[in-house]
Order: sequence, then structure tokens, then C-alpha cells
Amino acid sequence: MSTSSSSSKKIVLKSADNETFEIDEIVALESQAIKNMIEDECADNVIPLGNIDSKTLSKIIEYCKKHAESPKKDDNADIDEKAVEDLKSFDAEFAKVDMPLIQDILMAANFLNIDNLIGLMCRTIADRIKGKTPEEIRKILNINKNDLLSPEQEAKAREENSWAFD
Amino acid sequence: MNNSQRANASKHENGVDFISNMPGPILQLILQGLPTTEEVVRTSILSRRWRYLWTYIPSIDLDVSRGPKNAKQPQEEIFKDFVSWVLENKTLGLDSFRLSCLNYYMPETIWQWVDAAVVRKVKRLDLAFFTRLAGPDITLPHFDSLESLRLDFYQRSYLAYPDDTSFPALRFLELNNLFVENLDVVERLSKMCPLLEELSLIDCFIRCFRFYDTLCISCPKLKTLRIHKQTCDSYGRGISHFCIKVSCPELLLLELVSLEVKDHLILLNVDCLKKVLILPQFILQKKVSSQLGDTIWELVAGISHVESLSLNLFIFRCIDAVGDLIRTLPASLPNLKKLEITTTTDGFTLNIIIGIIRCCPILESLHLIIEEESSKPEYWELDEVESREILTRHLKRVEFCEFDGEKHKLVMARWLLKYANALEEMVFNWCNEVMYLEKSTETMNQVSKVNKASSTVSHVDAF
Repeated sequence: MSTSSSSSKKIVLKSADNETFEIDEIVALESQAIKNMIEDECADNVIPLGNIDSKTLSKIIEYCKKHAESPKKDDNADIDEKAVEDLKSFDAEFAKVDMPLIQDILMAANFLNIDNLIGLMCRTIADRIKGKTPEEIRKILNINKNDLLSPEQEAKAREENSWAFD
Repeated sequence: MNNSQRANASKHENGVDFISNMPGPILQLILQGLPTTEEVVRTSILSRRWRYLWTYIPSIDLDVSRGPKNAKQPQEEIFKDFVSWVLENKTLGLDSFRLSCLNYYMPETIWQWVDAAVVRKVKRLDLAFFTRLAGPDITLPHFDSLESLRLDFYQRSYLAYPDDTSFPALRFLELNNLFVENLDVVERLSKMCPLLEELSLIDCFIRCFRFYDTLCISCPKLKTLRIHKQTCDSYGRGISHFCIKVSCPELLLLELVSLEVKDHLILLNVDCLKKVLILPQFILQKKVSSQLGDTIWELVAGISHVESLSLNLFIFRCIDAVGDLIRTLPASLPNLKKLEITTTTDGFTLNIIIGIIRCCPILESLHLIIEEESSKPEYWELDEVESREILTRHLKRVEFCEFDGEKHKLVMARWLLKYANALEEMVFNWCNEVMYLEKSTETMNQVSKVNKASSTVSHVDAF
């Protein structure tokens, strides 16, 4: 079984556009999906990620590196406040990207099962639609016109929840 | 691979709704990031996919003051219908329920809603309301599974609970802006909540009391205790006015803010304490008795094992009142890493600060908050080499609040830059934009001319 003793072991990830990324195993373990593959010993030397492009993958590796270096919350009850602050400001900077990239990162994080990153992307999306009108939100999220409610359905939803609508 | 690469390149241009195609739990995470339940519910008209997603959100936050402005029906009725609809519409477990509704409803109505939340196994409850009529107490029902409870009665209503009440799972309790009959009501909490870890009493008032009553807080599992006074107590006697005795063997954090320190402030059995804030209310005219000085001396001696300590000028005046600095200060604060001091630059304070720093062998950071309001400002005499070294040895960050570019502050800033060799950052927070525009350049000029002791110091200039 692979355990933490092999911290210097390398893992190679290959993106959809055939770019390879060599990273420390400890960084790859931030992804629950890769962790499971390694633990089940079904990971080859190179792990192909056919649905993640290199731009997205390099962002994800940047995130995993930073988080793998930082002390984990459950390790120690009183971890350094500074480390927490540092990670927070890293996350804030990391999320300053455009919506298409956020979507790609979110989809990839969901595929790779990186809980913290999924959370960060969801909070980022929430921040961008916060305080916006439904019309603005539809635009931001690129909501499919074919999926809109009919006027009657929308009227009913507004009626049901009249407190929430002006 | 090439297919997906091509798909990837063009997917955003084709306007595909990728987010809506994500699994439900991801979309619910997005909704949970919205600040209010009203906002979450408004997503119900985005599209068919989003129509009922909001009903799966495990937290509810409703506030009667956030309603529509031009409603056809009275606010009260729409809100009442809405709360019931949001609560009773689902079968799913509920993490948190926050309700803020002034005096619009009778307690019975509110307890009905709370019951509905309890049926959904709510863990955290945050209620802000008061009774319409003066008089009747608000009597808490039983909350068997509740882990966290916050109550705010807007300084209008009394809190009560029957003798046999118990909150067996409660770990966090915050009481805000409310009255209780007597101190016993507060003291009984420790028996009612055997697992209590965090207790905050913020602006709580007592109806019946004797002048020298002591509030005893003795909770076996308590880790955090906060007693704060934030507003003026025009309605009666606040908890912060009583003598206080704390006996909590697992306590880690103690905050006593704006309380009126009496001759008895006793900490017993607090060996685990790590962080302490004691910022008593500062009464300028009041003469400090030497008995009070002794109380403070015992207090500081009793917490000499902490890692983080915040004190203010009042404590200094008590120490000063005893007169004998060597005797008043503990021999050592062996674990202290962080020291925060709110003070003026009155002459006597410098000696005490230096005296305290002297007994801290492993101090890592010193936070000085200098207040100006002082009866007679004598400035610190900083030219003595030893004082200077002791004061600046640990100083990493200096922040000037409400900075106005006045000369003596600039002198202080230049002095600190010249001697503080551990300094990493100096921040000037200007008091207003006019001052900032007028004096900022000159200040920066003055500051940049100094020969700095620390090679890594940076300035931040903001208003």
C-alpha cells in the first residue's frame, strides 16, 4: 500500500491536450479520486485526464500544491492563525478568474473529487450572482433559453414565494 | 483526446449552460453561498432546472425587515405564510434556522415555527424577537437535540425557563440584549447544559439583585466565556456590573469586555486558559482603590500561564494604584507570546509596559493601541536606551488609527522606524480623505527620510 512514507514519489498527470505534469504524490493526494486510484493500485505511472485541458489542470495543480503544503485543520486543534490567513488570501487570489475558467475548474474539481476546491468555486459563483436580478444571473450562468419557465410557471413561482420577490 | 480538446475550446462560445448541468449537490452548494433565504428562493424562477433546488438547502435565514417594499398584503401576513411554507414544505434535515422578526408575532407562533424546525432536527437556532406587551417572560421550550442557540430580545423581553428544563446537547449559547429575573437564572445554565463549550453573555440585564451579588460561572466543559457590554444599560443592572467568579477547568478563552471591575473578580480552576482579554470599562474620574489594585494583582498572577493577553489602561491604573511595581507584576509570564495593550501615552504607562515585557521571556508580538483621550498627556520618555530596546524588541507591526499627521505622532512614527529592528509593517489609517490628500505626501517624505533599523519594513498609507 502507498502511504505517507513515499512523500517524494512522483505522479504524472496528462491533460486532454496531451501535456504532462509531474507532481509530488502528496500534491496528487489532494484529489480523492486520484488517492483512491493510488490506494487501489490501479494508477499507472501516467494518469490520463481526458476531460481536463492543460490550462485548467495547471490551475488545479497550483491549488493542490498550496493546500498540500499547508497544515491540515484536523492535524492540530490550534494551528497557526497566520497559515490559515495565508491560505485564505491564496484562495481569494486563486478565484479571481473569468466565469468560463471557473466552470472548467469546478467540473474538473468535481471529477477529481477535490472537496475544498469544489467549495471554493461554488462560493465564488455565489459571490458573483449575489444581489443580481434573475435576468442578470441567467446571463452570468449562461442559462439555456430553452429551459426557461413559461410565463404561467414563473407567475406561480412568484406567487408561492411572494415574500422573496419585490 | 482531440475530440475533447476541440469540445473544450468551443464549449463556452456555444453558450452551453454548464453550471446548470452540474449535479444537484453542487448547485445546492452554490445556493448555500447566497446570504439570505430570500435570495436563495428567488433562484426558483431562473429556469426549470433551478425551480425547486432551493427546497434542498439545509439552512434557513429569514428576517422580517427584508420584505418587499410595495406589498399588497400586510408584511406580517406574507412573512408568516412564507416562514411556514419554507419550514413545513420539506422533509429534509435542517442545519440552521435563523429568524429575526421584531415584535410582529406572539411567542406561541414562533415556538410553532421552532417546533417545525425541531422536527427537521435543527442543530443551530438563532432567534431575534420580543413580546408585544411588556410583562410576560419568554419561556423557552425543550430543545433536546439542539447544539447551538443564540437569542436576541432587543433589550425588551425577559428570558425564563421552567425548573426542569435541560438542553442535553447544547454546546454553544449566546444570550444578547435580554433581561433575566436574577443571577440564578444565569447560574442554572451550567446544570441545564452539561456539554456547554461556549457561553457568550452580551448586554444581559438582571431584574432583582443585591448590591454585592456575585455571578458564579462554573461549567465543567466550558472552553470559551465572553461577557461583553456593548450598549449603555439604561434599563437596569447589567451582568457586567456584578462581581464575577469563574471556575471552569477546561476554559481556553476568556473575554471580559467593558465590565465594571469590582473588588472581586475571581478566577479559580482555570489552568487551561490560553487567551485572556480583560478590558474593563474605563472611568476617567473614578479613583482606583488599593483593594481593587490587589484584586487585579491576584487576577494577573492567577493567569500568568496564558499565551495571549489583552489589557487596557484601567488595569494599568490599578497596577499603578498599588504603587509597588515589582510586587504588583507577576514574577514571570512564561508562556506569553502575544501581548495587546490599549493605553495612552501618560508617563506612568511606559514603566508598566516595560515592566510587563520584562517578565515575558518568549514574547513574539506586541500590539500597542494608543488612545489619545487622556486627562493630562505626558509623552513617553523614549530616549532611555534600555526602555527603548525592551519596547522595540518584539514590535512587528505598527498601526496608527485615525491618523491626522500631527507632529507628535510623526515623531513617534519616526522614532519607531529608527529603532524597531523587528518591524515589518507600519500602517497609517488616515482619519479622513481631506487630511489624507493634504498631508499624506508630506508624511511619507518625513517617514522615508528616516534611517530604518529594520531592512524589511513596508508602509501602507490608507484612509
